Amino acid sequence: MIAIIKYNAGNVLSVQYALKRLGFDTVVTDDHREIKNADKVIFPGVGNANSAMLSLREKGLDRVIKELTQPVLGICVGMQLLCNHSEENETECLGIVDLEVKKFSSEKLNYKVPQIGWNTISNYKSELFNGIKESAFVYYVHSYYAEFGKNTVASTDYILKYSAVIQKNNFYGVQFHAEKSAEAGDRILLNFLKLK
Amino acid sequence: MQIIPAIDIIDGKCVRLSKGDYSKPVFYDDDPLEVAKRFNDSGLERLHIVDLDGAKTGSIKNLKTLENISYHTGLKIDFGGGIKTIDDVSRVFDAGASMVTLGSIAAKDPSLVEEWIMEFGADSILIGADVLNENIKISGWLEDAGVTIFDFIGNMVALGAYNIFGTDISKDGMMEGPSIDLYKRILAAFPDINFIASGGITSFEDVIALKLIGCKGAIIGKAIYEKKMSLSQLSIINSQK
Repeated sequence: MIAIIKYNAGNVLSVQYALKRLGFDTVVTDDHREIKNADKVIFPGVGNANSAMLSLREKGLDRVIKELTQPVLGICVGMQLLCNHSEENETECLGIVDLEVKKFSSEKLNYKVPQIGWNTISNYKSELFNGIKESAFVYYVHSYYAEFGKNTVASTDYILKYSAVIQKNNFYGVQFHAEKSAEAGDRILLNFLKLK
Repeated sequence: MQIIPAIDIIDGKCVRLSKGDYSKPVFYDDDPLEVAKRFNDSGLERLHIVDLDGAKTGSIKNLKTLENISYHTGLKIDFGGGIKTIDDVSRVFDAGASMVTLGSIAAKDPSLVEEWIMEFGADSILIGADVLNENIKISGWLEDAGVTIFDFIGNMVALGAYNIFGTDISKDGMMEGPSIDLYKRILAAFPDINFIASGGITSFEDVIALKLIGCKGAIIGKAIYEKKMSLSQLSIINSQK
């Protein structure tokens, strides 16, 4: 069973829809036991990091997520919440992956914040990228990014080099919208669902 | 350029606030229905209704007025203020609105915006970004949402919304002209959205300036009530593509 975590941050339904298109049934749930017993857990999110964390804490999901041992995939804000801390409203995050989430500086000319649109990923270091050619295009909408660090398994350049994908043990996170990233996005989702 | 006249309602009556301050309402004599009929008769096609009681209390209060106006005019209406649940959204559509306006709830719980876009279609959803010093304000402009207007619009775009209006609170009801510079930057960051300007629009020059920077519409309130712009002239601008 694939569980998609239900809380106040959006994008839950788009992820569910994308997986359905790929032939997978999912359960959108905030039930602790259902999430713990799932084979795979997907943790999506669009919105404000602070109110997203508040919603997780209200539902007691912060503790549940930290204790998961099956493959977990954070998407967009879901990925950011796996990190230590976000500059967005100085939010204390889950602290699973030792990275800071920062805001893009909009001072550099020709770079818009938020970044909206297609950009490339490179420096792959994870089985999530099996069968994906170097510099594949993925779709982004974000103003905050996780720094580049030792848990970075793919990076993107926009204003600076940052974490496009992170991994620590069973926890994976993608900053881009894998569910809207055409071929590469589909492949990453399929590779994640194949993980043991 | 779509000209969108506004009716703000407190207790069934037409009202204008200045900078969103509930303590200084100016009530206009006419019944909202009479006002809406005048808009309709002048050839305008749209209407923006704000339930200020709803925005302040967090539950819809002036649905009856919406029903009345939609029944007696051909205006295409967006309605907002206090919408919280999918039932609220359905009630607003049942009362005759073509679009719901989502402000506070969109900032607090983006997952609902996504759900409603999937249920009713992005055409039926108008996102209201009320902004003061680039930060989003919610709950009748009384509370800071802790998110900048750029991040907020980014989130909404990520969820599939594209009808978005921005109200600069520092300009609203002041009749000193709109925030051209802010709207220009929003349109540069989000060239694909249907962006509607609101707040402070007072003259035809203002409307033309907004059109030139790429705004798709303009919400006009006090300047109509105070007769700074005539409905017949607004109607002419409205019919120009």
